[in-house]
Amino acid sequence: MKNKAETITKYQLFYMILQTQIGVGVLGLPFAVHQVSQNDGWISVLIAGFISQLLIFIIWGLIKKYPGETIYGIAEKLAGKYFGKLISTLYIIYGTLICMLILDLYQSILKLWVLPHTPKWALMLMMVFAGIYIVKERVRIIARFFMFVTILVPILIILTLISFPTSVEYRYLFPIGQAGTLKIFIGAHSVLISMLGFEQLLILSKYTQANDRSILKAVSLANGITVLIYVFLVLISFMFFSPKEIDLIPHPVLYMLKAITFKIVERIDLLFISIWIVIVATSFISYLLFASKGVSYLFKLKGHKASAYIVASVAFALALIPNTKFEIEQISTYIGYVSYGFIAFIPILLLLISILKSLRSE
Amino acid sequence: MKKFLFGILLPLLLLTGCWDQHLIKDARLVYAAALDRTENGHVRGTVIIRGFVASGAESGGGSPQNEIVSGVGKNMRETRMNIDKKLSDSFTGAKTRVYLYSEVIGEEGLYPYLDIFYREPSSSLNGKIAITNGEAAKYLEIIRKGNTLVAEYIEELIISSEKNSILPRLDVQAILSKFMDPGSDPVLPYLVLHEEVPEIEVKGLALFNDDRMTGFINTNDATLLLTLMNKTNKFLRFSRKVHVDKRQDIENYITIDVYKSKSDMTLNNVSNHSFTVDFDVNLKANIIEYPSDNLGSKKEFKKLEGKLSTMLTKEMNQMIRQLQDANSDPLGIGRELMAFHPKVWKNLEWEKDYPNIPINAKVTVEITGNGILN
Repeated sequence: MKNKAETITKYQLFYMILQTQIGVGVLGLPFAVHQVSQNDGWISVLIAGFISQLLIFIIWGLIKKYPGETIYGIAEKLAGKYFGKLISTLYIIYGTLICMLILDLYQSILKLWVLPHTPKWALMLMMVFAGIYIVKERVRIIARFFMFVTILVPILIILTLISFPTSVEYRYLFPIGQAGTLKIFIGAHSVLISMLGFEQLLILSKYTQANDRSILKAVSLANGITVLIYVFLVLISFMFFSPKEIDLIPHPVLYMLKAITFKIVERIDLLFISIWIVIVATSFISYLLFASKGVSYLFKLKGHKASAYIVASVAFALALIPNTKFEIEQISTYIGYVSYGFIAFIPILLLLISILKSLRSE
Repeated sequence: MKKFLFGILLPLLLLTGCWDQHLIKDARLVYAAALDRTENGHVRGTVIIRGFVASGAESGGGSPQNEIVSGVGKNMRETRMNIDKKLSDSFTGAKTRVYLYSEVIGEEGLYPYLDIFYREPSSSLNGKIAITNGEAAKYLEIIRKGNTLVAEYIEELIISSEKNSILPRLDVQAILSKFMDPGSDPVLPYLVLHEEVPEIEVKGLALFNDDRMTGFINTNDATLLLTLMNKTNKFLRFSRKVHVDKRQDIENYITIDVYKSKSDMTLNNVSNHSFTVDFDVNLKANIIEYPSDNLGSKKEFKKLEGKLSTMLTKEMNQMIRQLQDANSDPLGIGRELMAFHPKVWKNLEWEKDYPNIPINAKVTVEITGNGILN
């Protein structure tokens, strides 16, 4: 079964997880977390990072028992044929919904900042086509693409750094802990949505040619770097905008870059958006692959090319439904809650079942 | 199948640009905008639009020409739409370098006049902003100063004052934070027009309480304020009278060039309802003009240092008094309190209590050099 073109290295795994984690959320994260935990938002990011690390341990604990299987296979092995199929279907729906959410968030930001008159279907269609174009290839090729575009992440950071605002007010961060412990923890929830992506391990472990420990290392490293980048962006935004102001600015990172002009480039925010689109695309591709693999498994299709077309079309059609920004926000909130089922509840459940099973067989 | 898909895809990708194209040939670029209030409370906007007049058939390019257009509306957007009606092509504000607001608007509250810029992604938030003494539109009517067009003239005027530590480095975006921060207030350049010359002068800094202008300080005090805020730029120079008995008056003066300036704010004697603020300012400077000479001895240096220190300390405290009278807190004392003594901040009624806080500044000047002449 181990077709060489269908495998990835541990480095490629790292890039894939990193690129999936950093996604649409980058632009709005400081705003979202500030809504809840005020200027202690950066602590929330750290907490969210810690929680996602715990979840990584759980998912890793589950998948390491079944090398050569994706979550779809594991679910069927552990929960029986029917329940397994049910779980697989749920995961497919989850992947498709996230694809849809990414499309909606991406088009709304692009429409707001750059292309106000372009209809949303055109913007989404471009993303869908680009997504399908890559996802229909084998996993290794997808991974190579991810590896290649990871160079953009440091560029994004450098772009923020060179345009580092001259007047930062570090005192906006004090007193630390002003929001209260409870709010800081609730704030971690809104960060966690932006941290999603590590659950890709549920399918990618099958293709990774590495031992368990290096898989864990790669995923944890990706998670750690994501946390660092997020903390950095949140801190900069918090020091640049005064607390009341940031509550008015849904995309602080972009807004910050908007004021800076170089001799040649007038609007860094547009440059940033162009790079950000690629980073969004990688997240979209990841979830498209995630759902497509599931569809292929359920219907016993060879490869995931045909499924990719189906999943992408469904996601595109769904993404056309919400119209106002409030509807998109609402969907985003719902998916945020639902995602816990897929990154925490089901993996924990399956892990427990597998532990029970192995206990019984002894 | 592949060809079919390609046939759909290619035109789609090519078409996407059509909805959102902005052609520079259809745009009338606004370089400067001046905002006034009419007698019945409406907004009058006056803008400078850059056009090109071909100077000769072969020379190419052509010389830039200013066109001045104004319009009245109930709010900013309506004013802008009314100006647009008078223009051959569409109004484009993405390149605006200078925003001028009349003092009347400043005193009423500036924020409602800025919202339009903060809300639109294509507006230029890195333009300079200034408050004008009297009607703002008059400033643009100068059209050109020597070879420079008025928009550049005002912008360069502000930038050069920034370099000389008279104005803080700021743009439209930077002041939004201060509007929104209860713990600190913005300051903006304050301009005066000499109509007969005509000439525009940087007169000092307009002081604000949130977004309302409440006073102003002259350029001399502005430099002191920037020193206190640690916001000094390339040049920081002080000329002061240190003697009274010289043959010619010019010999009584000294000019120092400060190459290192550091100001520390500390809150002392903090109790539940009161506290004092101390500023400790250290300046390291070189003498760049001193006709009295005789700088050979260490004693002479010490004497000058002492004189300058007391002089600047006194001026600094007078300047702070002016800030408190205007109930303006550009130093961010409120922010310091919120950050490190949040309980005291809650107990105080900042608007009422700020003017009465004991604030004390102490300046220490250290002269380390005297140029190539003793």
